[in-house]
Amino acid sequence: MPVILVSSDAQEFKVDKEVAERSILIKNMLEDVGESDSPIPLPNVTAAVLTKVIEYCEHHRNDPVQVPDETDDPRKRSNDIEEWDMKFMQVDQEMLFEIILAANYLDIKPLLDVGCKTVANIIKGKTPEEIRKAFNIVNDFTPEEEAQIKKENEWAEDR
Amino acid sequence: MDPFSIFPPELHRMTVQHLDRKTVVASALVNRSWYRLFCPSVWETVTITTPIQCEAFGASVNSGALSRHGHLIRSLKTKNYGVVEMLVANGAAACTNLTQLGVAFKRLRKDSSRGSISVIAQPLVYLLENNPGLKSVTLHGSILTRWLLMSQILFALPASVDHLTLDGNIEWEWPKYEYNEISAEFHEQELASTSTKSHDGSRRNLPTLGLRKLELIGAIPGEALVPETLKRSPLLESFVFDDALLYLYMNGEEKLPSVLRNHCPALTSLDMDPGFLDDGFLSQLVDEASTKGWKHLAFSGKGFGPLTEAAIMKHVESLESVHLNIGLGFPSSSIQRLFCLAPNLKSFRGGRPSLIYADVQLDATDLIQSPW
Repeated sequence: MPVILVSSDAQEFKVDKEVAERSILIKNMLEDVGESDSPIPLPNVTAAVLTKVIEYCEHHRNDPVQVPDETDDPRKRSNDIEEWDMKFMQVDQEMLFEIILAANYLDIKPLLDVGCKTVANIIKGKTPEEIRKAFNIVNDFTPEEEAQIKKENEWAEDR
Repeated sequence: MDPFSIFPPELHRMTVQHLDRKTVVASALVNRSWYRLFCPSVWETVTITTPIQCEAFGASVNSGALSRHGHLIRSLKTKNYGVVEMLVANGAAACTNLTQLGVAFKRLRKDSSRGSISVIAQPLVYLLENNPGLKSVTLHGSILTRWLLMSQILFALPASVDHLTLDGNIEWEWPKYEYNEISAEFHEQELASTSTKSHDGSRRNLPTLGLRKLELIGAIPGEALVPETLKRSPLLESFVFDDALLYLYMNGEEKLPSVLRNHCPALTSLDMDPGFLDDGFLSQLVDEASTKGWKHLAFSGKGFGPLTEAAIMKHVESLESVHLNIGLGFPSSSIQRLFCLAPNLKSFRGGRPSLIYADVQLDATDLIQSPW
C-alpha cells in the first residue's frame, strides 16, 4: 500500500511503504498509527529536498538494514562512498546541507552518513583559506589570534 | 554557506569523525566559530611521539594553552616522559578529565633539580591523583622496576582505573651523570624508607582499586607490590603477567594462587608466561586461583605439562578460550576431550612440536562438528 507524504510547501508524494520506511521516523509513525491512508505531514522538508530524499530511498529500497560496526575506524572509511551515492550527492551546497538536515530529521542513517562524508570530503586536505573559499566563510580572526592558534595547535598535526 | 552554522552539534561530530588530524587542525583556523567547534577534536586526544611534535607541544603549553584546552584532553599518550613533566609544570590543574593515560619513561629532561625517584614520580603521581575519571593507564619503561616509583604509582592510582598495564621491558634513558650520583644513595636510603612507608601503608589499608584487568610485562618488583595490588582489586577479571611470577612464587610470603583466590573473586582470565616455573606450580595456579572458574587461559613458554593440562581439564564447563603458545602443546587426545566436554569453548590455539612455526588456530565449533 502506498504512503502519502506531504512536504512543508504542501506538495503530496505517493511512495511505496517499503520506500517510505527507509526513514525510521516514518516507519515508527506508521507503526504507531497502524493501517491508515491519511497523509503524513513533513513540516521540516521542502518538496525539492523531499524529491531528492525519495530518489535516494527508491534506489536503496532493497538494502539490508545497516548494522553499526563500532570497531571500524571511521577515518579509514570516509572515501568509500558508492558511485551512485557520489553522483546523487553532486548537488549545490545548499541542497547538500538540506538533504543532510532532512536525513537527520527523517532518521535515514545511511543517507546521513553519505551526506556527512561528502561534507568531510569537501573539507579534507584543505588549508584554512581553501576551506573559507569552499564555503564562503569570512575570516574574523585578528592576525595575532591566528598566529596564537597556530602555535597552540601545531603539535596536533600528524608528523 | 557554512554547513556548521546550520548543523546541530551531532551532525558536526558525525562529519568530524571522517577528517584526519591535519584537516581538523586546519579547520580550527577557519574562523572563530570553527575554532570553538574544532578545538575539542584537536585536544581530545593528545598523542606525542616525534621530537618535532614534542617541541611544538612544549611551545603550546608554554603559551598557556592548557588553561584554555586542558579540560578537553581525554587521552594523553606519549613516548616521552618530558611531556608529562612539561604538562604538570605548566598548568596541569586544568587537565582533570583524562580517561586514558599512556606514558613511556624515555627522554627525561636533563634537569639538575631531579635528584631522586620521588622527584621523577611527582608529575605522574600528580596526574593520577587529579584525574578521578581515568579508566586506562599504561606505563612503559624499565624504571618501573624501581620499587619506590611503583609504590607511588600504585598508591596514587584512582579507583576508576579498570585497566592497568605496567611494562618494564623498555629501556629508559637516564642521564648518566645523574644516575651515578644517585644510584648509591637510592639503594640505601630510598629503598629503606619505602619499605617503612609500605608497611605503614598496608596497616593503613590502602584504598580499594577498580581494576578489572592488570597486565604486568617484564620485570616488575613483585614481592610486596603485586600481591598488595591484587588484594586491593576485588573486581579483577583478567591477570596478565610474565616475569613477575618468579618473584611472586619464590619470594612472596603468600603464594599467588591463594592471594588470587582470596582477594580476586571475579578472576576468570589468566594469560601468562610461566618462565622457569614448573608444571606443579602452574597446575596449582590453574587449580586454585579462580573461584568462578576460568573462561580464558593462555600460556606461553615452558613449564607446561600433564599436571597443568589435568588442571585445565577440570575447568571444561566454564572455558571459552584456551591459547597455548608452547612447544609441547596439548596432546591431541586432550584437545579432543576439551572439544567434546567444553560446552562454551569458542577458541583454541596451540603450538605443537611438528608445527612449531605454524601456530594452529582452530575454531572449536567447526572441530566439534568435524569427524575428530
